Amino acid sequence: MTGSGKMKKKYASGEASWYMTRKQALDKLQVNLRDFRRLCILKGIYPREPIKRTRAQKGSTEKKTLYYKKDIQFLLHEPLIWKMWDMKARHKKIQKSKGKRDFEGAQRLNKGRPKYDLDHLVKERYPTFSDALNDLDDPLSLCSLFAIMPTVSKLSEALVSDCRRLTVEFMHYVIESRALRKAFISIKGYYFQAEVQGIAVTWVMPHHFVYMRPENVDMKVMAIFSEFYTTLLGFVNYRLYHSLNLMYPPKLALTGATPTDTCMSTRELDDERVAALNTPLARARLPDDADDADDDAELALMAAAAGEELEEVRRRRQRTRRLQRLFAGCRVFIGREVPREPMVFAIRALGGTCSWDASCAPGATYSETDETITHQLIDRAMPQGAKKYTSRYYVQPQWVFDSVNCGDLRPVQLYFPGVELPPHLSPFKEEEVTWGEYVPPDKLKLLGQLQGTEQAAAEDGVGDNPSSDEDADEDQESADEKQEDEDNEESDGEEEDSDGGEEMEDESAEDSAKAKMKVTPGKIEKVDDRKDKMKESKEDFWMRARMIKKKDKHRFYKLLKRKKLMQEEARLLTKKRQIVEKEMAERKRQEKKQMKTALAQT
Amino acid sequence: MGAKSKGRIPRNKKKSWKKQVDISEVDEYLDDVRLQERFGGLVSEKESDEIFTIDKSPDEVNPDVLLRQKRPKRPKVDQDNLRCFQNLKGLPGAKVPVKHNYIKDKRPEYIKAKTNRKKAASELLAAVSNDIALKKGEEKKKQLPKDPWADDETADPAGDWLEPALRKMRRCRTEGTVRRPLYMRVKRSLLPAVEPPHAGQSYHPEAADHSALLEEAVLVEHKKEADFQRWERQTTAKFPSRRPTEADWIKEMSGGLGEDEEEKGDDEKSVTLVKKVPKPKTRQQRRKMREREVAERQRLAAVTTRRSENEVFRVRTIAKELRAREARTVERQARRLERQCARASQPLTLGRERFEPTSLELNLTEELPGSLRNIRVEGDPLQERFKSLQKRNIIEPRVRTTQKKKFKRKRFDRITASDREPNKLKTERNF
Repeated sequence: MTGSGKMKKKYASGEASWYMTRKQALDKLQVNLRDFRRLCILKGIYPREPIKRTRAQKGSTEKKTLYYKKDIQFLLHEPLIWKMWDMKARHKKIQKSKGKRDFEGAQRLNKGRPKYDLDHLVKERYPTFSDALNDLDDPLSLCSLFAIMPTVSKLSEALVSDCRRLTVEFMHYVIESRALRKAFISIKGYYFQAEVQGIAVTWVMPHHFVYMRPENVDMKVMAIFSEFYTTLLGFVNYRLYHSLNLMYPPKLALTGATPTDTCMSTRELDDERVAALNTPLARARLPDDADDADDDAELALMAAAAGEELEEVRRRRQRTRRLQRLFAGCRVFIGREVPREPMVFAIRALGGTCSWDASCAPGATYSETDETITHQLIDRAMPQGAKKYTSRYYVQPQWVFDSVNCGDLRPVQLYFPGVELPPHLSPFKEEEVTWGEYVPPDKLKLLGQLQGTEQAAAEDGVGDNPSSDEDADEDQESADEKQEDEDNEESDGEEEDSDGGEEMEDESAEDSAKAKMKVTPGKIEKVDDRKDKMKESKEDFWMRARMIKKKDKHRFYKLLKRKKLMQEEARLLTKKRQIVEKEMAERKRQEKKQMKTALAQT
Repeated sequence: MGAKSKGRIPRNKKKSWKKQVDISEVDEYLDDVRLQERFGGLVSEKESDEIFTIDKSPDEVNPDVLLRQKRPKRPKVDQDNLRCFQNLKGLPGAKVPVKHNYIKDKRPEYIKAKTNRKKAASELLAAVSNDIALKKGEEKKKQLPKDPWADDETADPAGDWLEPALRKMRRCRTEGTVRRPLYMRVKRSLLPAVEPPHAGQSYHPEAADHSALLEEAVLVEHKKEADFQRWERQTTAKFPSRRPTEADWIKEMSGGLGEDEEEKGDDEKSVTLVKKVPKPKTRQQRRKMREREVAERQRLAAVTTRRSENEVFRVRTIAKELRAREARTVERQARRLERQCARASQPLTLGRERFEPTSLELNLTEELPGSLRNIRVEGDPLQERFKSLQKRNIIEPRVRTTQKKKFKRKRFDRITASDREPNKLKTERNF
C-alpha cells in the first residue's frame, strides 16, 4: 500500500490562495480604508476579478472586492505606508488633544505632519519614458479638468494651480514642437491629439463655463489620481522641455512690452503671460535644423518598422510638414466672445500668431487696429459703428479647427459671420469600409480628400452668395493665394519626386537639334510599376478567393455582386452630377450675358 | 528665624530684641542683595528670559557608547613584581623567558622594497578612488532627482528578469527595494483612456452623423424599455391576482376557524392513530434474498468480463471517441480564449456593484447651436473621467454610503400624578 499522506485541505492552494479580500488586506497592512485606497491608486494596484469567484473566495458566493495577495505583499514594502502609519499615530494624538481642548497642541501636531512625495513611484510605474508617454491621455485630461475647478474646501488650492500650470506647460511643449495633429469641438469639450515623440496623445479640454460638480463622483478618489498625475506630468514636462532645449520652468523669450497691470504682482503677471500661450519660450540653445532634411534612409527604416510602403510614409510625412506650417503667415485676432485658450493653442501650434483685446486678458501682443492682421475670429454680429477692416477676413472660429483637420486652410467665405457653417466633422471618426458607393463631392471636400479641386469649390461659393464686388475680389485673392501656396508646396515637396523621364526627353530634344548623324541615346523603357502591381494584386485576390470554403463561397459572390452594383450606381450618379453641373454653368453664363446686355441697353 | 533659646528673654523691650535676637540671616540676605545689585540688579526681579537661555540643541548622546556593555576591567598587573618571576629577581643578567611569537621576514631586502612600493601604490589608488566615489555621491546629492528616465538609453529593460536569481536577490537585499512584479505592467483593459467622441457629438455635426448618434441613443432607450417589460412580465404578470390587502390577510389567517368545531366530532370517530409496523422477515426469506444477491453479483461480473474481452474489437470506436473528445477540448479552449479576450475590453465585476455607463451625450436637433458661442454643453467631464476609470477596471464601482449617526433615543416614563394617586385622578378624568 502506498503511504497515506496528509489530507489536503480545501482552498489551501490554487486560485483560492491567490486572492485576498479587501478586509483581509486592510488587516494585513494595518491601514484604514481611506489610506488603503490612496496607497492602491498611487502604486497602481487594482482589484481583480477571479476566474471562479466561489473558489477564490473560499466557498463564499458574496461578491467581494478581491486583490492579488502578491500585490498586497508588494504594498507592504512601500515606504509610503510607513508615513501612513506615522500619520495614523499622529492623528490619534491630535484627536486626543482636541478632546482635551488643547487646540494649540493639536495645531502644532497638525503642522508637523509627515510629508510624503511620490517621485520614486514615477520611475517604478513607468520604467521607460515611452511607457509614461503612452499613458499620458489620462493625466492630461484629468489635469485640464482640475485646472478649471473652483477651489473649495475639499480641493486644495495647490493641486488646482499645479494642474493648471502643468497643462499649460504641456501645451507650450506642443506649440514649440508643432506636435498638434487633430482638434475637434465636441459638445463634451475640446478634443486634441498631438504626436509626442511618435506617440499619439489625445486629451479633452473641458469647455470653460461655470463648473458644477456632479453628485455621484467620489471627489477624494479623483483628487488622489490627480495628485499622482501632477507628479508624473511634472517629470514628463521636464524631459520634454529638455528634448527641445527649452528652459524648464518655462520662461518667455520676450520680456513683456505690454503695460503692466497694477492689480497683479510681476510674478503673477509673468505666470499669466505664460498661461496665455501667446509668446514663444526661451531656449537654452537654438534648435538645429538637421531635422528638416529629408532623410531617405531614416524614412525607409520607419517604413520597414511600421510595415508600410515607403511612398505612403513619405506622403504622410509631407502632410505633417505642411500641417506644421499651416497657419504660418496668419496673424489672427481673437474676438472677446470666442473661447480664447483652445483657439490660441490651435493657431500657435501650427505656426500662426494671434492676439486679442488687451483688456480681456494679459498676453495680447497687438491690437485690433493692426493693419497686418489677416484673420479676425468673430462669433457674433459686428457691433454697430465698429470699424470694419478690408485688409482682413472676418471668420467664425470653426474655421480654425476645420483647417487643422483638413490639413489646409479652408476657404474663408464658407465661414464668414452670419453664413450657415459647413458641418464640423470629427477627425477621430474611423474610416468606414466603402463599397465604392457614391459619395457626393461636397462630402469628399469636407473630408479633405479633394484638396486639388478646392479652387473650383471656392468659385462655386462665390456664385451662391449674393456677394458684393469687394467680396468677390477678396475671394479671388484668396483663391490666388491658395494656388500660389499649393504651387510652392509642390515645388518644396516634390522636387525629388519629379520624374526622371522628363529630363531624359529634354536632353534628347537638344541632341536632335545638334546633329542627326550622331548616335542618339536609347530611350529607357518605362516600367509601369503601378500597373504591374495592380495586376499582381488582382491575381493575388483571385488566388485567395479560391481558398474560400465551399459553404462561404455563395456569400462571397453575393458581396462581390453588391460591390459591383454599388460601383455602377456611383458611376451613373457622378455622370448625372456632371451633366447637371454643366447645365447649371451654362445657365449661369447665359444669365450673366443677359445681365450684361441689359446693362448695356440701360 | 527665631530667637535664641537662651533661657528667658524679655520680649517687651526694644533693647533686649537688639541684643539678643540673631540677625545674621537678615544680614546675609542683605549682603546678598547688595552683591546682586552690584552685579546688575536683583535676580528675583529679572525676567526669566534674561537669566535663562533655552537649550535648543539636544544633549549629545552617543548611543553606541551607552549601549555597549562595559566589561569589568582587569586590575593592572604589576609586571615588575610578578610572583612567577620572583625567582628571577635574584639572578642578574638572566634573560626574560618570554618568547616573542612573530615570524621574521626572511625575504631579501630588494623584494621587500618592491612589495612595500606596491602596497603604497594600491593604498594611494584606493584613497583616490574613494575620493572620486565621495565626489560622485556629493554630485548626486546636489542634482535634483528631476529626470527619472535619464538612464533610459543605457539601461536594458530586459535585463531585469534575465538576471540570475541569486544575484538579483543579493542586489535587492542590498538596495532594500522590492521589484515591481512584471504582471503589473499588463494593462487592465484594452479600452482607450480617452475614448474618441462620436462624430455626431460635434457641436455642429453633419446630418448623417447626428442621426446615427440619435439612432444609437434610441436603441439604448429601446433596450431599457425591453428590460422593464421583461421584468414586468416575469414578476407582475406572472401573478395576476392583485396584491393581498389587509382584509385578505385576515381572511387567510382566520381560514377554517369557524369550521373547526363542526369537524372535531367527526375526527374523533374516524381517525385511529396506529403506527404500522412491518412484519419481520422469516429466515427463509432472508436466505433467499442473500442467494439472489449473490447470483446478481455473479451475473454482473460475468457481463463486465465479457464486455472487457470484447473491448478488443472496439479499438477503432474508442480511438474515434478519443479523437472526438480531443477535438471538443480544442474547440472549448478556443472558445474560452475568445471569451477571455472579450473580457479585456469590458468592465469586469470587481465588487458588489455593477458598472453602469453614463447616458449618451447628445444635442437634440432643435438644440443644435448655430455657432460656437451658443454651444450647449452635455455630459459632465469629471463624471466621464470617473466612469472611464471604472470601465477600465482601475477602480471598482461603488455606491456612495452616507453614514447617518443614529442616536439612541432616551426613553423614560414620566411619573404622572395618576401613577401616584391612581384612583383619585381617574375620577377626575371622568369628569
